[in-house]
Amino acid sequence: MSGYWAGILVILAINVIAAYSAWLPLAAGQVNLGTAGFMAVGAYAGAVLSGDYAWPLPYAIAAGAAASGALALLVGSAVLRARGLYLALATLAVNEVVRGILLNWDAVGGASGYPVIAHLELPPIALAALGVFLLAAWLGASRFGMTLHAIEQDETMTGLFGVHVPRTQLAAFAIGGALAGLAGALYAHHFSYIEAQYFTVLLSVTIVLSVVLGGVQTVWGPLVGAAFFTLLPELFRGASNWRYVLFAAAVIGIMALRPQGIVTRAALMRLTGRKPA
Amino acid sequence: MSEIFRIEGLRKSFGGLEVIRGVDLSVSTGQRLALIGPNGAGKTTVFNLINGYYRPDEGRILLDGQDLVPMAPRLRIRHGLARSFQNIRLIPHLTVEENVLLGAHIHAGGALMQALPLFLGRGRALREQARGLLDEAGLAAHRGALAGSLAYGLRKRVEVVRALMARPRLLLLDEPCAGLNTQERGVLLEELQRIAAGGVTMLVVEHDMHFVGGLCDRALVLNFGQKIAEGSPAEIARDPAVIEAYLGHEPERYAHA
Ligand SMILES: Nc1ncnc2c1ncn2[C@@H]1O[C@H](COP(=O)(O)OP(=O)(O)O)[C@@H](O)[C@H]1O
Ligand SMILES: [Mg+2]
Repeated sequence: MSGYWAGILVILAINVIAAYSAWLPLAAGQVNLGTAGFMAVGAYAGAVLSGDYAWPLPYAIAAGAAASGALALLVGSAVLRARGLYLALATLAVNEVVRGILLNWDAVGGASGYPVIAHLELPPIALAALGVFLLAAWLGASRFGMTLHAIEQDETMTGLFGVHVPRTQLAAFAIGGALAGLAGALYAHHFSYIEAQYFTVLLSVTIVLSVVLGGVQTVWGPLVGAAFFTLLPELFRGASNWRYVLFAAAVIGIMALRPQGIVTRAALMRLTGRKPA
Repeated sequence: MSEIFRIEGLRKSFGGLEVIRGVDLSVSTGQRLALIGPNGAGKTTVFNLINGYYRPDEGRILLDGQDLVPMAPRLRIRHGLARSFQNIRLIPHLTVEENVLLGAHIHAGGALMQALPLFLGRGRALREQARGLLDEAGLAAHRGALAGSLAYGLRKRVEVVRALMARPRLLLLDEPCAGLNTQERGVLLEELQRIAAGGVTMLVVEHDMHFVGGLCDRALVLNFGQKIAEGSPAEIARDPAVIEAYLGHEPERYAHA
C-alpha cells in the first residue's frame, strides 16, 4: 500500500472512531460540540503517559480514553440538564475550556505543542476502528441503543415507560467521551506531535456534521458519514482550490435530498430486502 | 370486588384557573371505568396528574393503597401504571416489535442486561411475549414494519399492545377512538374487550358513547373539573345533567326543539 493511501486510511479510521463518539449522544438527541475537546484530553493524557511515564502504548492509549470518559462523566452530570441549543453551546464551551487549559499549560508544551515519541502505524489503528464499530453495532442492537432512539424522539413518553432518561443520556455521553479520547490518543501516536490548536470547535462541528450526514438512525450512518467526509475531499483533489466548494456543495445537496441522513432505517430495510411496511 | 385505584380530593390550578376541582373516583380490580365529559372538562389533566406529568395542588392518587403523588413519574409504571396516548407517541423509525418492547422496559433488567443485544438474555422471553401479544391483537403481519409506516388505526392498536407489555395493574387509555373510522373502532373495541376479559383494569377517556357502552361497566362524567354524574353507561346517557353539559342547554328544550 502506498504511503498516501495508508495516510488516508489512518485518518479515516480515526474519523470513524470520532464519528461513533459523537453518534452515541446524537442518537439520544444530544449534540455534543465538545468532541474535539475530549479528543484532546485523550491525546494529551495518552501521550504524557507513554512519553513522560513510559507506559506501554496500549495502556497509555486505554488510559487516555478512560481519562476523557471520566471527564465526560463529570461534565455530562453538570451540562446534560441543558437541552437542544443550550446543550450544544455548553459542550462547545467545554471544548474551548479544555483547549484553553492545554494552550496555557507549560508542562505539556503550552502553545508550542507536545512531541509524542511512541509511534503507531495503520494496522493497530484500523483494528481499533473495527473494534469501535463492533462495539457500536453491539450497543446499537441492545435495549440501551433502542432507548437512545426513543429518547431522541420523545423524552417524556420514554420516561413514562420507566426509562431513566438522564442516566441513559449520561451513559451515552460518557461512552462517547471515552471513544473521543481513544480517537485522540491514536491520533497523537500516529502524528507524533500534538498541539491544542488542532482540537478546535470546528473539528467538533465537522465530526457531528459527518454523523448527521451519514444518518443517526442506524449504526451504519457514522461509518458512511466519516467515509464521506474523509474520502470525498480527496476525490476532489484534482480541482485544487475548488475542492472545498465542491465538497460543501455535495454536503448541501445530500442534506437536501436526504434530510434524515444518507443511511436511514427504512433505506437499510429496503437494501436488505425487508419491507419497511 | 376489591378496590385497586382511588383518587381522593384531587385539585389542580393553572395560573388562577382551577381546572380540577375536587375529583374523587374509585376503580375496582378488573373493572373498566370511563371518564367522560365535554372538551376542556379536565379529563386529560386527570390522566396527566395520575401519570405525574403534573403535580396536584391537593389530593391523593392511590394505586393498590400506595400514594403515587410523591413518586417520580418514571417509577409509576413499576408500580403498575401504564397508558396509551391520545396523540400517538410511537418511535417512527423503530419497528413495531421494538416499539412494543419499549413497553416492557421495567421487566428488562439492570444496566448490564440492557447492554445486551435486544433478543439475548431476558430479551428472548420478552420478544416471545411481544410476539404473542401482537399475534393476539392481529398485528403479527406488521411486527417487522417501521411504526412510522403504519396506518393510523394500526398505530393506535400498537400503542395499546405497548402499554400491555408492562403488565400493568391499571391501564389508562386516552381517547383510544379519536381519529378512527367506524370499522377501526369496531376492531379496537373487540380487541379491548378481549383484553378486559383477561382481567385488566382500565380507566378510559372516550367520547364515543357506543364504545364506552361496549367496554366499560361504569362511567364518571366530568364538567368544569368536577364530577357531575356517575353510573352505568346507560344511566349516564339518560342523565339530564350530563345531556345538558354536553349540549349546553336543558334536555326538555332540546326534546321540544
Ligand atoms: N398546562 C396547562 N396550562 C394551562 N391550562 C391548561 C393546561 N392543561 C390544561 N389546561 C386547561 O385545563 C382545562 C382542561 O383541559 P383538558 O384536561 O385537556 O380537558 P379535556 O381532556 O377534558 O378535553 C382546559 O381549560 C385547558 O385549557
Ligand atoms: Mg383530552
